[in-house]
Amino acid sequence: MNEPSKGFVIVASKKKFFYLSALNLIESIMDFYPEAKVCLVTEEHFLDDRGRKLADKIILCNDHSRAKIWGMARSPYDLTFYIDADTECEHEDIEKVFDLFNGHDILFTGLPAERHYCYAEVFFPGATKPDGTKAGFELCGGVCLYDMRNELVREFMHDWYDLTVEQYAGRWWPKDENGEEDLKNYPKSFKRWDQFSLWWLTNKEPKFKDLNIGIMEDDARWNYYSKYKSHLQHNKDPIVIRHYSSAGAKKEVY
Amino acid sequence: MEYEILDNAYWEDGIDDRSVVKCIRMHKEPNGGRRKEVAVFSKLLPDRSLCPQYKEVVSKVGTETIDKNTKERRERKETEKKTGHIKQQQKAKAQELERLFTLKLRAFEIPEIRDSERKKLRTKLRRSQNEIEMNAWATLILGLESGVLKDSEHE
Repeated sequence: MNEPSKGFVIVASKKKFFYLSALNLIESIMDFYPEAKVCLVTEEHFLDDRGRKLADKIILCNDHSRAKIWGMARSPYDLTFYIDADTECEHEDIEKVFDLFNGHDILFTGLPAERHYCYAEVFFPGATKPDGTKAGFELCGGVCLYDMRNELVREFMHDWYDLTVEQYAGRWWPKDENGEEDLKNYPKSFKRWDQFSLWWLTNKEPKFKDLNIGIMEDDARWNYYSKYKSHLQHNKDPIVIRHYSSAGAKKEVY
Repeated sequence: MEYEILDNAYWEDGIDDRSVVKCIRMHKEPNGGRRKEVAVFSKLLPDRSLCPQYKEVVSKVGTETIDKNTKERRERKETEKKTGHIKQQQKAKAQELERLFTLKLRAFEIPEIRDSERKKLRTKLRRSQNEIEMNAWATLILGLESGVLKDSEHE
């Protein structure tokens, strides 16, 4: 049996900031893992010789807000590690990321209670557990490790994108018992958040109930937000991917 | 006037001789409502006689309870001070990291640095831990690429 291909998917759309961040991210991965294969998904008007030189494969996308998921669904690699563009690789363990599947089909990083201070909204009524326990988002989509050899995984990625497009366009939202948009259980503030479509597919869509979706081991080191409080020691081993999710440049220069 | 003294009275901060007590008195208003009054009483009045209001608070709440409240309050304030300091430090650190990241992206847009093939130096610039270090590596790349500095040793 052939060895599965392994590679990274990085999506840079909408703003030049993301393209420049993506180039920096690719170089930072290659600092530690020179043989890394990277698929860069970007808009044609951003692409330049640097991107062409660094990327193993380039896929052109449009400027949809969630080109990210579109790109994830088109990974050319069997084992894929998607990474948000506004991040940087800091550790040689990046090469070992493909060893983390441990029987899972898709792995994300988590949103445990001790890190809730870093996120805007986590809990919502529609996620309440059958025993009445307050619940909400549990997965964070900043990075994602997935096995594209599994047909259901590919279908999941495509469905996630399709559902998000419908959601953003205002054509899809869960309905209440009267057939109206259920804004009581699913707040309006989630309407332009792919985190919600991800939650819906992983919790409410029977088609994907057999997918083995999990959280990466020592997950904080694989998607370490710069806003994390280091004294709380969310990570056990050194940080591999640092996430600059609120870099001012997004709003300013680029 | 009718009022109730809450049992969370404590000795005033910075005074350890139980000479000043601080308490909350809840007054019953004629309309049925309640009004909160924060009151501070010194043990002695200007004529050196015992303040009756001080005496009232101490006798109602008890010296032992006031001591306990004072200890708990001082510990809580100390913890809040430390936590607040850590929070501020963390926030500043996060902001500095975000700013450094943005500056690095800008540095990599300078044509000489953008087009430089000096991988080791590019890596050094990327891994800079602060603005000064980043500027130093950026300057070095610029100097070498523009020919101002001589590349005596190939990377």
